[in-house]
Amino acid sequence: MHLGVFGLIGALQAAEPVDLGAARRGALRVLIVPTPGLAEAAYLPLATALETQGLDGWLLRIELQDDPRVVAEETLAALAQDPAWEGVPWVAHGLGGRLAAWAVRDGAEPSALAMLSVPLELQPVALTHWLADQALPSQSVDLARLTEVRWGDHAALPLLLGTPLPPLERVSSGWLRQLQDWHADPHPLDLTDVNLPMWAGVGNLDNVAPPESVRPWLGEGRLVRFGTHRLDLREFDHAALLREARPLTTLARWVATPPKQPGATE
Amino acid sequence: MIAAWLWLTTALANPASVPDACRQAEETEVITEDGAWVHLHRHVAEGPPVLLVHGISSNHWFMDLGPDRSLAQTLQAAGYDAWTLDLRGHGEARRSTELQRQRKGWTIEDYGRHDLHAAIEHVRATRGVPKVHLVGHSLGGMSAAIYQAHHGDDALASIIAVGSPVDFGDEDPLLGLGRVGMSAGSLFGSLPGPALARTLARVPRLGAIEDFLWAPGSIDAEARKRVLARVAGPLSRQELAHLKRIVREGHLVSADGSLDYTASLSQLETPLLVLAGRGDHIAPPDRVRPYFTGAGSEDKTWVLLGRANGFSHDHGHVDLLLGDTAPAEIYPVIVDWLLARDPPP
Repeated sequence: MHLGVFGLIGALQAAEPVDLGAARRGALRVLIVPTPGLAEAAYLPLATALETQGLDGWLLRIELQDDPRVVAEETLAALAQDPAWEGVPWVAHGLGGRLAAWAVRDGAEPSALAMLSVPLELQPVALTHWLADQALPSQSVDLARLTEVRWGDHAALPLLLGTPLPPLERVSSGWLRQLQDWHADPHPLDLTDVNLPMWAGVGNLDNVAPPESVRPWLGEGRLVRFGTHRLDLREFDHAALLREARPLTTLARWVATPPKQPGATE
Repeated sequence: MIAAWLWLTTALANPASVPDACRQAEETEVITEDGAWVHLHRHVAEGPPVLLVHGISSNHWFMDLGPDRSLAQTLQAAGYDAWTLDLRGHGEARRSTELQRQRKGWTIEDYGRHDLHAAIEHVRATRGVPKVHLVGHSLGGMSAAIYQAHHGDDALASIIAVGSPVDFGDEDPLLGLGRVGMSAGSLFGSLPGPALARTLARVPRLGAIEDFLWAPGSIDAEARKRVLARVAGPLSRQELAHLKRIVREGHLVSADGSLDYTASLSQLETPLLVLAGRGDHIAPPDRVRPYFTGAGSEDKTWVLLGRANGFSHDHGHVDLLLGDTAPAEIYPVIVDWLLARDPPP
């Protein structure tokens, strides 16, 4: 497994990537843009699936002090222009993946953009209204300690993220405030005019990025709806899409051989 | 999808078995402009009239299965004059009161263009009111979109669309399979099967087919038998061919493809409530939501029926209105929305 980690030191400048794995010679690097609050271990199945396709996954580490807006508008944009990362496809995941979609909408040009469970428009429901109303601490929150927090009859995080929960970690209050801002103003990321090969994987039971939050804004991108509609034997929630082999393998295959032209089918 | 279509086309009702709910209703046969007939069942009240329209391969019992799960009787209890409709060829409108069979060859377009028009005009004339509220499940809501494209929305007080898809783009394998099934089905003149329906009602469980139609465990065993035995109708060859065209075009289009009823929703001005089930495989929310986003109505409401929105489960297609929890958690959404806009005297 070749899992690299970026350290982003400071808000305005991307640090040199640090490869923690033993990258195979000649393997195509892939930049993974994760969701803050999900631990690095949550992305190991994805990195493994990429490796199976001869790809080398590098995880963009969004640190507690990073401003999400700067990550989207400056860090990712700078990476896309960095000769060392030119031609590298991006794999964006979940709410953090919105930062990659944001950068691409504003002109960043990776070779391809694969989005797994990335909501391009936030569509509030009762649970997210409740989450958006929660007071935030000034520094950071350890999501792993909040797994039992109740919303009515449900544990809130498992209902939102799916079960079993992915490995969680500490997340900055700044990031959570960003989510609350998006909740107040859905801030749709319209990719319909983006001229890149794009792929989006969604699940019918994903409460973070349901299909209706993706389809209208994907344009010529390729949408894959995992679950019954793809003749899978099960439906997929947010956590399952990042854990199960079927969606991850499908994603990795697309990244390994993306279409030459936007909108082309697999 | 193919399994659902086949099931829906074959799991036909036993019309001889009339539920108690329907015995309490006033019955009317109405002739359409093109010479077909529809059947109306009225649960009388003094309040504003509400027309309830069933979905594809279904009938009025979908809206009035029995006292324990009847949107029609719930509306009546709230003071609304509830009229359930059998579209041509369905339920009591399979034959006329003189036992004539419907002329064959109708398409989905005829439901909206002629059947709803006839029913709405009849209700308006009977009540002496200018407008009628319309609740449509699945194809019933799609038919409302067709109706407004042909007749405008002057006669509609509101539309409540429940699990009504109007966007069939980004074809997935299941939808593709459904299209193949429609092609196969359209080789036959019609796909009836009351006898098979009665048989299926005796089968304890239909496995994946059943899970596709409603959320697992959302309809109890006794109600399930009633649903299978009563709530189904035929599918004609032309209806299937029209459906196939809709799926191929990706929009709700006319039978000849010349009109785009999904696009025509932009002309809709009447208040609109759109409901979608998070776990609906037949009309998933992303295929329903363009009904809401595309409508020109200033007063429009979107309600997603799923656990993350406070509902008991992620609702499927049939349990949207016939599930065990529908009377407690979905009917009130509809009634309260109506009460806020047009309360009975």
